[in-house]
Amino acid sequence: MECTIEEINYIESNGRGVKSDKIAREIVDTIATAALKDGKVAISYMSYGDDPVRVGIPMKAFAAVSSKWESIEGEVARYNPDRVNVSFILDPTLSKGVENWANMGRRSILEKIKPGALVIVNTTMTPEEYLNYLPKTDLDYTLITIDGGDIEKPSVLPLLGAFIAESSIVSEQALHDALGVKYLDLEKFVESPTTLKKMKVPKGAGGMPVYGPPPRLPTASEMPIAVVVPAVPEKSRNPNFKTSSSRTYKPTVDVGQCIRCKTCWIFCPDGAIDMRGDEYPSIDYDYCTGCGICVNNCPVGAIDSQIELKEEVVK
Amino acid sequence: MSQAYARKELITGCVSVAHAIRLSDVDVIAAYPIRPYTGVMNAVAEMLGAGEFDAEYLVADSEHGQFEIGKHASMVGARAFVGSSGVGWAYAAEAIVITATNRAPVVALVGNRALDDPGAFGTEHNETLMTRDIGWMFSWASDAQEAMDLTLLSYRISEDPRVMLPSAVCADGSFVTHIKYPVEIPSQDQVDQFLPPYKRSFALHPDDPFTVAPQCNDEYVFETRKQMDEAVRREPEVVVEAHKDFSKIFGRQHEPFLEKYMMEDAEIVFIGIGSMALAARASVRELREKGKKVGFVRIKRFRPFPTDELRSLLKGRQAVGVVDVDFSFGSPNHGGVVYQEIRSALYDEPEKPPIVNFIAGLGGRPVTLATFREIADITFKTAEGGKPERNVYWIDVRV
Amino acid sequence: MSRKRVEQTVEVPEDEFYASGHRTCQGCGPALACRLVAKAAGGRTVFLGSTGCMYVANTSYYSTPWIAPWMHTQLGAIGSAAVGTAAGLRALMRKGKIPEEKINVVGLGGDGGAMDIGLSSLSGAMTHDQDLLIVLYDNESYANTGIQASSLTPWGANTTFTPPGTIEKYRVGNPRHKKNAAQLIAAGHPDVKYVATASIAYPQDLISKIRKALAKGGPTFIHLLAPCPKGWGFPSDKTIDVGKLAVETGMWRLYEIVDGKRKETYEPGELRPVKDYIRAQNRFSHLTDEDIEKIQEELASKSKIKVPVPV
Repeated sequence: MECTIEEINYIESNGRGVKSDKIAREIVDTIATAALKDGKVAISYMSYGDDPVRVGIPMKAFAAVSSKWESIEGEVARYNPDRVNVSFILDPTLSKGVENWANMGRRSILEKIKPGALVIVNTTMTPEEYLNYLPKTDLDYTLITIDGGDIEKPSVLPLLGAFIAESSIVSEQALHDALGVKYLDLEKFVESPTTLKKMKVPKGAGGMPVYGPPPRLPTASEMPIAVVVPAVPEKSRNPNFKTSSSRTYKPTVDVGQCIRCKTCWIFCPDGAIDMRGDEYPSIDYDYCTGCGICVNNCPVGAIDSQIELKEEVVK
Repeated sequence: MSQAYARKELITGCVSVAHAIRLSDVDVIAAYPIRPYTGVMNAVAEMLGAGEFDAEYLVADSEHGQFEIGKHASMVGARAFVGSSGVGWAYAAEAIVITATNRAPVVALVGNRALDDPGAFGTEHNETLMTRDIGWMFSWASDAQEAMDLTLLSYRISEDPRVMLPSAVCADGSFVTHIKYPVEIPSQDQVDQFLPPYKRSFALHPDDPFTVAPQCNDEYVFETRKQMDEAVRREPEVVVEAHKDFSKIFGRQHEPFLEKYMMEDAEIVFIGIGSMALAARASVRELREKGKKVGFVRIKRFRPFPTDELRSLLKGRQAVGVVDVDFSFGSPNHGGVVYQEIRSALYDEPEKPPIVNFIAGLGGRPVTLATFREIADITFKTAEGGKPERNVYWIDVRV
Repeated sequence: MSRKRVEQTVEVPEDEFYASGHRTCQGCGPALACRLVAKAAGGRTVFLGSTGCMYVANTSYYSTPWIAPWMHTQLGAIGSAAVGTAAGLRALMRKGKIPEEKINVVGLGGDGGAMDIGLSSLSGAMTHDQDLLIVLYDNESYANTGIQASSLTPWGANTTFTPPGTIEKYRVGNPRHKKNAAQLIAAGHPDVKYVATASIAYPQDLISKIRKALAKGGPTFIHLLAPCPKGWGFPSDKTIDVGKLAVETGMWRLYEIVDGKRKETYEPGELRPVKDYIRAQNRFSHLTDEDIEKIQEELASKSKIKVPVPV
């Protein structure tokens, strides 16, 4: 839906459930609180469909800032904005996209950004390096990378420091004040980075291909009555929900070391490992969520895990 | 622990109601988890743990147990708070009915949620509307500030000796319960000025023994219903007084029953309940800029229904679009609940505006500016034609 | 390259009836519980699931990971759902309306659903001569609503309804002690045919118990401990470790009860101190060493076991 109201700034924060959802919310809450201190109007919320957050599953939180309540009023009672001016990416492996429930298809992590948006990513890479892992976009944006100190649980200050260096949605003083938790008390100072790693990304740039369109949702006449959905066929997996976008780490089996004890296959909560008869374990990477149970429980340490910024497509 | 000053915070509707509970010195809180109202109980637990106020906090076995705990605490004279959502409210229904017939002025937060099956956490108003006949008062918040205000008002009104009936404060799931708004949290002094202590004339206690609710037959029940009817008829007077005091102390909530948005010269009127008001107001402004004389009425208090005020407010309008975030299968014209109540309220008017019903937002589908554009088109056509082409339209649903 | 193949230590059936593709946490204990229970029961089963993580997380949105037939039921209705399903199938078979065959009825309910709001329906289900198995997957909280205390949440746990407070009254967090579901069902229900405790960290034990229960006929009950990374506060790769620690410290026992007689199905050689289990979970991080000693002593006196010497 086209939003014709002017003067709304939307900020989104992308995190992973339980690992960085609180950080994601702290970021949007802090910016919204700062906006209030600037005498603006602001609201913040987590995407309702992401609630309850679950470990590793991508989630989004938002803030909306405007100079007048009338500008945002009509947009408040929604689950997420159409477009955002600022997007924080708290775990760089979210470059693999977002598929946090069934029947939505894989969505680009940059799905919501407007032309000229500010994208701030927690990573030690330079923007040029990280761009290799982002999908192509048909609009331009500014990409900033900043080291949040931990790939899964970044510290808020460097991220907000990068934000305030580039954005004028809220004043620096108000952000300083807002960082003092709840009660308008001045507590912490934001350290603005002296050298910001940033890059203006032109239209069409990005190292990864564009995703396909989302699935069409069925109509009332197409849906069976009594909310019946078909069962997953035998020896198959849920075709409507690939859960690989939960992964920060990707496990790989070294069959040279593997003793085929089946421990990994038995303990996978996602049933993502195939292992029939005398076979060696084969991980179905569409459905592995990267929990690490197989890595941790392999008695001979034959399974290794690596940070995963892009999925290898197996033809 | 009293605050010397009121303060403003970015908080959700659930948390703002928790502040109201703290400030109201509630004595007994019975909790049971169900999305989207659970946040209020989480916040209360934290406040108690930090010593911000004192109360007995029970994690109940179920919603039925939860509401029974609240009812019985109220019967010994303790100020009680409970709450639920969706099927949880439905599960508690037995206790809910009896809380009213026991004349227990319990206050509940309802985080409005669609009824199962399928399970869904989005807003729908049916769970509360299903219980509209049994003697509870229902008010609906449109944002987090109002959720707090209505909770404070509810204790004052419910506990008034002229009323002594329970209240539910309804807050739309996600839109009011989970979104953080800037909320003014009053000081303890302000609330103490507004809310007197709970004094129950028949509180169970050995100092003054009596029996509550013996078995009855047809010789008695009718009279107890009459008593309740009379109490409910006294409610509007108590509501008006309470709002007068509230607005004097806090500077808000001047209108007790209806929000009237740009209604002075409105020819076309939209009516609805709850958080859809935000898109409705924006839509009215958008249409006014195009020269259309449109207004919006939000029903804040659904029980007791503001019949007289609505009748005079809707007199002479060219068309009324009633937006129901609820359904009433098989009802007259297959219309929603609010639509039916408004038609019924207007029945005696010699000249009634044409009314068209919109079923929107079911299962929590957001009611947006785009939704209102469609609603407006149809309502304008209704005004032109003098009567609706169809009585009921289902908006934004995939068919 | 043919390396010596180690003897498979666990007999676990190969086919899945609860497939990949669900919205559960990384390392979700209950998801593994569903997977193993479904394997054990097989495809000729009707599964029922009451509201909870194993409903919402599994089916969000308008989807399912179930290969076998599955239906949602209300939070408090797992027992009744199983009874109704079993009775319906039995009547149809007896009256020749559908072919006679063994169709298992397995109800999967969480701790909040089965032992709080659903206690009445669970208890009722254990009194009827219907062939059904209720599996209580215990993640020790109402997890789907964001981790609140149930009557199976252990003493001292941090949940959003029992956050550890700064004032003494609320210091420990959850003040209530964990109910004993298996004992309640076994001791109080003369018609129940099989009761057992199990753990996802001991899959062979679990699978054989499921099969035993289903072969018995009549009402049966298994209390299955399923550690929860989000609710208990441990990294997602430690689910099985924590499950094993529960048993190795004596905090969870593996046994079955048939005809009123209890038999342990696995006992660790030497018990580890309870501290190892408690300190592996963030939900207990506010507990002092004295609190943990208290837990250790209570465990020893209740279970009549030798108190291990703390390291």
